Amino acid sequence: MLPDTQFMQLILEEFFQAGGPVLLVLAGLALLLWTLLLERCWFLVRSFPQMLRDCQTATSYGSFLQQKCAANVALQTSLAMIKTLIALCPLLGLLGTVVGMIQLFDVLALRGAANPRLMAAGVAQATLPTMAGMVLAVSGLLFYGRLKRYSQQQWQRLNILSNNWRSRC
Amino acid sequence: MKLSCVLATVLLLGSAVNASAAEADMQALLNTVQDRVAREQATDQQRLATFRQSSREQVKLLQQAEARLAASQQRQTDLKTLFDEQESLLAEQQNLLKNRTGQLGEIFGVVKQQAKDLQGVLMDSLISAELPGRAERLEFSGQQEVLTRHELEALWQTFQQELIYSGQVKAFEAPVVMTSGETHNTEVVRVGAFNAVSADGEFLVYADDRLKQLARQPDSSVRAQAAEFVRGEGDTLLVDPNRGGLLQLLSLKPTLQARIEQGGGVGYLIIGLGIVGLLVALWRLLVSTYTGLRIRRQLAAVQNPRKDNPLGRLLLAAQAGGSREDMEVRLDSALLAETPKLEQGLAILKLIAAVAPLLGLLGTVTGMIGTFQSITLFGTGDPKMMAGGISQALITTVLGLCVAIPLLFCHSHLFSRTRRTLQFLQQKSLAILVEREEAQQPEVLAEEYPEAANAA
Repeated sequence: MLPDTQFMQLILEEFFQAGGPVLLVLAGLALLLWTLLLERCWFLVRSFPQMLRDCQTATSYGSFLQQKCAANVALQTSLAMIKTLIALCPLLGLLGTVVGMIQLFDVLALRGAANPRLMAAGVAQATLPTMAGMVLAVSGLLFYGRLKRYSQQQWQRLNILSNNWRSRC
Repeated sequence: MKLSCVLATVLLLGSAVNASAAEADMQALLNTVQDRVAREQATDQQRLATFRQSSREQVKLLQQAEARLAASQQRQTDLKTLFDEQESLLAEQQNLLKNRTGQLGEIFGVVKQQAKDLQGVLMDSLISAELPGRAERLEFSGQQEVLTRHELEALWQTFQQELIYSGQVKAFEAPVVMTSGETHNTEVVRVGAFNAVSADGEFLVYADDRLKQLARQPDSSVRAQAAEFVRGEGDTLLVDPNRGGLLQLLSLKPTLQARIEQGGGVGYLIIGLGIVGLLVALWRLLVSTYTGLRIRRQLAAVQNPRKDNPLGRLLLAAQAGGSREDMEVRLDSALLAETPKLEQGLAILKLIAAVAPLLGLLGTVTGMIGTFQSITLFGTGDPKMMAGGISQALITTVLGLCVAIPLLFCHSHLFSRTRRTLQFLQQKSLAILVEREEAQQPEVLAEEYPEAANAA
């Protein structure tokens, strides 16, 4: 059975409306983060083995160094950015919380604490971005840890190759 | 004893000497006293006469007052009898009214009550802007008389009118009070009893018997939508189900500028820091892009290193060395010299990104101090009093985060870019030099080739 796309879209719209503008920023951040993460996965699985092979079959120290330089630089691209993006997720969640709190206190200032229903919108705006930020950060961290370890291993392999060449020259 | 006798004798002698002068004085005194007594007697007589006169007058006044009292009492009894007569007449008439209305009395009560309620509804209803003076037909709600057929009809007709009109979307001409205070006759589109929109998409509310332009309009996108709706191009419109109440609440929401002003000095400080940080980030972004372009151009022409880019400078520095070890040492020292140029401005970026949230916290704490001061002054009885201060305190935190997040992002991007560039420079320059060396000594290459193949 296919999921009801219209219904899901409605739920998503409701979620974004309840969470306020910060949630939209978080969505953009999530898109960027996951694009980078998937790009890294693709790179490590597809592009990097070819680079490693190029390094191993290099015919001279000079050409090996050229290959190693390219591989090294490629290996480190966007990892630092991913790390920062992951760190930004909870911060944005906090921003959302504070924005929601401001709305909540605005309602309090206008209407007093008599009607808790009026405050519900502010509370939703305060809590939803925090939750979204946490989910993003945790899921991103899981992937990031794997990717980082894997690229460190590859980096060490490159260094071993380079040491081989060095001892020979 | 002897002494006092002497003293008395001396005194007697003295008085005998003055006796003739004193006699004349005494005569004068006697005359004066007699004269005074005569005068006082005359005054007393006069006073007595006046008193008697006024006493007579008082008696006369008393008689007059008594006569008035008697007249008033007479009038009171007359009026009382009249009142009683009227009262019994009124009771009779009421009885008559009751008899005449018979079973309809309660119905009339209900009708009047409904008419009164409906008047209240019409007062706030947008439909009255299109049909002014409707409520006058229901004036009978305050009267005592027996309702006529027309009045009964007016009630149900007005009810029905309100019902039907509140289901209509209609355009009509009406005077609208602008925010400037002027009144213009413009085309207005009314959506049931909920919304009124002017031709250019401005939202209106109905209050005090006239349409007024809202001082604070909703977002421009909503207004554009409304304008399209009025022109008949769009089919969506924001409707306030609270009959304008929600729209009026909009004006109480502080604007962005008001919010920033709430942040106070700390808020402005954070914004200033943010602007500085953004400028630094932009500058570094431009410089690093430019440097990257230069390096790429140098890579295309490795043979003639230029001094206008880091890679060229590294190559130039390394070429001066003789052996490969010497070259590597020179390369490292040249790279160390390049590093600060590439990393310029990054530290301040990081500093601002770290300081901004802290400043936000500071603003929050100072705001909270203000809130607590208001608590000590006014107590915790009114949450409204505190809520304003708290939302003010939180603004600085928001500002701090708004500055820190993009700056952190920029810093991380620039930092990783710089580190990559440095690594690239080190490895690339070494690779270029080694390749060049190998090109000059082809025999080394031939010698090393099989080993390289083995290693692979």
